[in-house]
Amino acid sequence: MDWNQLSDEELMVCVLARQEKALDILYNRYAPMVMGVALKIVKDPLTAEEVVQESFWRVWERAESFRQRRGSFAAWLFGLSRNLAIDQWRRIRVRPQAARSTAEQEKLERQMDSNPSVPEVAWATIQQNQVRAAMLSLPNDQRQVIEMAYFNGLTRQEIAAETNIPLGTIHTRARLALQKLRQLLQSEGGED
Amino acid sequence: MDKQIEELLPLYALSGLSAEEEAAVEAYLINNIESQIVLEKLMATVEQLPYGVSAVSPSPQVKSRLMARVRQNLRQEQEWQKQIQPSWAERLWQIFRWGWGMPALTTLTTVTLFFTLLWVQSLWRDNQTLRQELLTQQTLIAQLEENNQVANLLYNPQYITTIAGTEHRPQAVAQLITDQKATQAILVVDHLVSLDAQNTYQLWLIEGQTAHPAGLFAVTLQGNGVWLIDSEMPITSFNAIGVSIEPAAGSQQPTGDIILLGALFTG
Repeated sequence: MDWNQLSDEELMVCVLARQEKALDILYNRYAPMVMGVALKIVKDPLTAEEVVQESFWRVWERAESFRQRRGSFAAWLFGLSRNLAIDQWRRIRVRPQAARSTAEQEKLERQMDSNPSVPEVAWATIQQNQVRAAMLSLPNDQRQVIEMAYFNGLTRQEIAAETNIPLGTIHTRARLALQKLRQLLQSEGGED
Repeated sequence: MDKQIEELLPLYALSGLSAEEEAAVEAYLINNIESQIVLEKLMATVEQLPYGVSAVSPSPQVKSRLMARVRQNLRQEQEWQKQIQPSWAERLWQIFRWGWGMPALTTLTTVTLFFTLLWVQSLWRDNQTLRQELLTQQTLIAQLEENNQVANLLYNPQYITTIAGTEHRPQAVAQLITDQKATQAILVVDHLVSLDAQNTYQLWLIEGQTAHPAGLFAVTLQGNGVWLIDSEMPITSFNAIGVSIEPAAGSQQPTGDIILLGALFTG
């Protein structure tokens, strides 16, 4: 059996049947993206690696819960790793530590992004480029709401408090941002 | 449509609501299909966001640690399965106890018992029939035996004595046929009348002045009949033979009319 030819969902059936090779393949396929998301949220490589390990451990341990829901494996994996990362980020926030500046964070991401061991899957790269391009095309104020809610795990009240913007404006920006992203991704064929 | 809740949908998709607000949105969505469709689209867009993040390879130790944990978990699961795996006898008992076994066994027992009862009843009936048939066969055999004896006497007679009717039944006639040992004889009678139920014909073997009862008999509607006589003493030791009409149970000495009388072995 050529494991690499199997779809994510087929591999999850194998995970459920306790085939560790299936988890190995899924890890190779998604660990860099999970790491990227985790790093963006927790802004610390070691903590992000903990998130990666815990995310895939949950894939192994909670495979049954994936089978019982609908949706793609990637969406399920990113959802659970994002939640883990945000939990970690909240713990870090309450602990006094030196915060990295945005410039430092971007530098770190660039360095790690150039790591030659990253398995670049062609379709993933294309999709990545499309989403990045779509995000960059958003007005800054709209992108900020997306970033703060999704990647920083802030609630609308926390965003309002941090940005001094009324709640209604935050609602509008979030709605417009998602509408525009959807249009852009659909036109690029990146979303069904 | 609740506009306030509808406004929250984009932030719900982005996980940008408090727990209470999320619960309120979810409660609202249950009965609002249109809003569910709107949310589906928003979620599909949000699910694309991770693809916009730069991929970063974790260190190889992350995978090593993960796979070691997985293998340890596999070993634990196998151990656990070994421990909880019941023996074949326990599994069989479980099947019988909680599965279809017990009802099936009960049904099978009931059905078996029912058919066994039917079978026993049938056997009992067969037994009764066979007993009846055996009795009939025994009667037939006895009759055949008697007929055989009569036939032997008829074909190999030693002594034949003719006995005439008395004044009470002058037309009556009888013949006594005796075998060589003279302990058996047959009496053939004719021209008698069929008696009512209160009376019977009784045969007497007479020795000197003493009459010995030698059996009761009836005749056909035509007035004839054949009877086998068994005697402990040789019939040749008697002087005469007679037939009288007696009450149905018979008598110790002749009490009624003597209708047949003749001397034995005079010729």
